[in-house]
Amino acid sequence: MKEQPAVPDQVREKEEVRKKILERWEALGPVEKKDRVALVRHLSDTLDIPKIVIEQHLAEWESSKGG
Amino acid sequence: MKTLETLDHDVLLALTRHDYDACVSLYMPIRRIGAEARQNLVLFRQLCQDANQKMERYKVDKALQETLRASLRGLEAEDSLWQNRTDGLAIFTAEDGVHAYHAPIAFAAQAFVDRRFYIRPLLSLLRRQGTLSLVLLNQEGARLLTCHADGCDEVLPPRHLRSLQDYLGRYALDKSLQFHSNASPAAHADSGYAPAYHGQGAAGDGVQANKYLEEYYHHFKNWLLKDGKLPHRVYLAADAHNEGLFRKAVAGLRVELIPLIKKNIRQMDDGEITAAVQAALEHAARRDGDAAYGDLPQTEAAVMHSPAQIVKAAHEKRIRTLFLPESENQLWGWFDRKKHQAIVESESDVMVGEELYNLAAIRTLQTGGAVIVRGGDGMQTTAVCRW
Repeated sequence: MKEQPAVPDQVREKEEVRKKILERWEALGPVEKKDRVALVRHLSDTLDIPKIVIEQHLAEWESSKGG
Repeated sequence: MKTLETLDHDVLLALTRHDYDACVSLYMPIRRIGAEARQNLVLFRQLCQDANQKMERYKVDKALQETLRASLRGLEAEDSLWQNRTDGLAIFTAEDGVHAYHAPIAFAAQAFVDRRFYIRPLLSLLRRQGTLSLVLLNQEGARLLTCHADGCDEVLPPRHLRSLQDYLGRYALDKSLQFHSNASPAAHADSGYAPAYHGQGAAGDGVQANKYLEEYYHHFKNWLLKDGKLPHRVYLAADAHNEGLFRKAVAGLRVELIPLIKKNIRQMDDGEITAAVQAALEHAARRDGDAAYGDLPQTEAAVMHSPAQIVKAAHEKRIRTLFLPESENQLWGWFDRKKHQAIVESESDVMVGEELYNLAAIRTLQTGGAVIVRGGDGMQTTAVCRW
């Protein structure tokens, strides 16, 4: 059987971060999502992840959804 | 000889726990440079001579005089005493031993023979007690230090907050920024800190780096807020640029940021930090002392200025705070334990006297009170009593 290549830690970590952010994001209602700047700050603080990383993941996710 | 390594409330209590028939306290400045250093022993001998004359005048028991003289003579051969690079030296000799303290201030040369060690010149050094929180900021990252008069201890954040590069590297944000790499990776591993971003690289790196640094400080501040690590007053060692970014990060919080050193400092054992910390601790203590003195109780019975009353109150364990003037005016006499009253008298020719302010300070410390030395016009010795 062909051996599966190991998943690099960084890729796996990135995927975990993305999952955490999107879980929180999707749990929010449309009213809460209105103030995007404050929301990104809040997610950044509660998840202890840089704001820019939150923004990157949200942007990737939104573009993948075509919105 | 026992050397007092540090000076705090407990050390003073231990030093003054005995009353003696007679004991000797010597204070002197220390010259630290080459030929001038030889003057230290000359001055020490003069002070010993002064103490000898006082012991003769006070008619101290001959055998005790000889014991004290022998102790003092023995100190001339104590190299550690004369080679220490501090500004002042205090020596305390009694029948049960000798104590020495190397002080960070130059004392006026004085010799005392009293029934207990004379500690008033040391009291102002208690102002340097306590700790302060110092945040060092620079392009490498932020560090939280808990500092006291003798040095600093670092409170380590989680690994990813120990440097800007660690922080950015965790999310692969450091790819476009160039970091200094002249130090070996092993050196970084030893220090636990990553190399500094040097502000060069792709176009726009400077702007981007500032954004990253601001965000890093924001998360460092979040870590400080956890578990109450961010006190009401935080001292900073940083240049204007880093200070500005950190101020933005803590904006809106009830935190007083006090610039202590206005430049970037990388080593926590930097002598400049110790000197600045000592000055800041002393300044804070002076301010607290001034506030306490300006807020004396209005009840006359609770506040007293008469030395005799103060010494009596100190023996009755009544003094909560004793304010002593910085100027060292001495008041000699003795405390009559049978009549329970202080007798004020000029320096005795027939017996070992007691410096009454020193006595009041010792008794106040021994009974849990505070002694505050402060300057200022119109400052007079004042005791605030518990009842």
